[in-house]
Amino acid sequence: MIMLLVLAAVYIAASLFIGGDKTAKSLVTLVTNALILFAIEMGFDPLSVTAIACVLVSLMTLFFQNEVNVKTRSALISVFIVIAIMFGFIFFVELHANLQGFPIGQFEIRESNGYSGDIGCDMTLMEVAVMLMVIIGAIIDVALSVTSGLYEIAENNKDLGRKDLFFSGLSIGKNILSSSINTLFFIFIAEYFTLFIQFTQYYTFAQMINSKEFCQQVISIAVSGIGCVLIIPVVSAVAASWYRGQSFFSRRK
Amino acid sequence: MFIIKLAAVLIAGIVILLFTANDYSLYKTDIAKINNISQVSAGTVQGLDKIKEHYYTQHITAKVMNGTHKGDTVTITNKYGKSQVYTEKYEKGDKVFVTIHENGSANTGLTANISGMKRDTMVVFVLLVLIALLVLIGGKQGIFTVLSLFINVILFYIMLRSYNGGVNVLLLAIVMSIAFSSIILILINGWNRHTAMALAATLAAVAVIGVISTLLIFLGPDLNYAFMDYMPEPYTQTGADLIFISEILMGGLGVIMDIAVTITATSSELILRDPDISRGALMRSCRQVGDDITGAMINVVFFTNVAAVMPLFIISMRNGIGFTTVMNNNTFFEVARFLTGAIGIIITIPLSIFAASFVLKRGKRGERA
Repeated sequence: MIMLLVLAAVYIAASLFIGGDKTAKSLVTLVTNALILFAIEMGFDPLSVTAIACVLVSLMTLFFQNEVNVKTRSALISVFIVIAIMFGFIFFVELHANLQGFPIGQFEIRESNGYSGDIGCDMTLMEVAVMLMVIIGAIIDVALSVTSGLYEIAENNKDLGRKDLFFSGLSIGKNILSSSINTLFFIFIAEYFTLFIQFTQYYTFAQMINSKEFCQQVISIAVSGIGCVLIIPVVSAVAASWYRGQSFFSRRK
Repeated sequence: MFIIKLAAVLIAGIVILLFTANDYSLYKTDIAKINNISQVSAGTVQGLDKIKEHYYTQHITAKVMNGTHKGDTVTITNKYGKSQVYTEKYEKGDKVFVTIHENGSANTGLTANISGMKRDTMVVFVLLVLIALLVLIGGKQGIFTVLSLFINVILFYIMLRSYNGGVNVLLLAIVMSIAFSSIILILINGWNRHTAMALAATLAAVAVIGVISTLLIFLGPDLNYAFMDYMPEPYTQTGADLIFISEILMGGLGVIMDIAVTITATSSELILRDPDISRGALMRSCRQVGDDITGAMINVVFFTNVAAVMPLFIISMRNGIGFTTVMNNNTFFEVARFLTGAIGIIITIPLSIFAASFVLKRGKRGERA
């Protein structure tokens, strides 16, 4: 606990003294996001709480952390669209791969250690909630980078039409894609380093690829990657039409 | 052009999927495909604080797909709780690994136990969707990303192998951080001054968080690793400490690289446009850019690290385990990795600006600004 407190103190001090105003503001966003996660954990009904959490996290990160303008508004709409698509996808995968609950490899979480499984909370929905929460941070980041970059292009090149802007958005997105995916990859390998040590020591390839431990991890990495790629065309389309003063659904001139 | 690519990706994907869906003969364990399920209620269990848990019994008939019993039908009984914390609910069409009881015969009816689920098709499906999207939407950069992920996985595998071979884990993590970041940065930009700057800033920032956490771990009270997920047993305190420090280094690496690339690119752009830019002005502009991306990046690190502990939190809370205990035991490592990652993000910004102004100005005019 002492270690966490010292790290938290260093983090807060660094935000206040090294970072600028927005970094300081991000402390507030962070605390709110932590509270939102905690609300999901109270677990009234994972599904509705997660839906509300997604909306709140997006509003907080986009509108509070940044400001309400055409950039953040188009990012928000795109994030909602992608979250809706990903929800269906994750639910499908989750149902067919049985990823819920605690795998046998997580041996400290067992009935015999006082963790009774009779908790009256659907772990399938919980796992969907986890994966949605994992991707939401990453897709907001990508969406915001594309809308800000595209805004500069749209302002400096008034003659560019909606279609040209869409392709500019795609190319901005493509350029940040690799680093976003790498960021996720490294966080995950750090998180599951010990698990992978066990795999190489005790599992055959066939056991590993079918185990719940492995599938939970690899599928959540892949799903967040999918979210990061999917947001690029969506946000480019939304922002391109919005910046040209047209509704997203109106027909192209 | 896009249509051809789409068709090629779709066909390749479907072929691979069909193959993994029918790879029964590759397995030595018996696999059965569930044909029919009838389900009855198996009563309610009272959990803590009036929590009710409903149990169900599934009577499953399944067809064996490989091995000596291939083609036979087996019956399986499976009991699950509605929450599915440790138990599994099966659906029609699921493929499961089974242990067939040899005392029955095909005539009197074979019975079996389920030992696990066949998940390979689903993993391959999700990975294929990712690769397909990267190639179709990401274009050239997407293919690069797939390539660099591939290289990362191979490097990571080499790292695990060397660890099992007895190499010191912290040494491995340091060597691998240097290897990972050099390869990725060179893949993105090629080998030039910008890459060198970004690399220097990345490694410096990783070193800073490494030193901070090492000091805290060795000077503070011993950490309790009993609750670290999947920690290989048996372990020594120092061994576990070193694994944890390695995790911190690797966890920070990706995001630090991301920030370092953005900031050094901005700095070099500014310095190229105005070689006489004062260090103060450079500092201000880059801090502005850094400030814009910091919040979103910290969010990414927060959610990816901390979201995974939600199921753990909920099972602990519902078993009457208090908040501080959960914080201390179960979520300690995730929160620590998040905090070190966040510190890494913030300190990378001044480090990158420093690296950029140092390298570029010296390179241009042979003097230090």
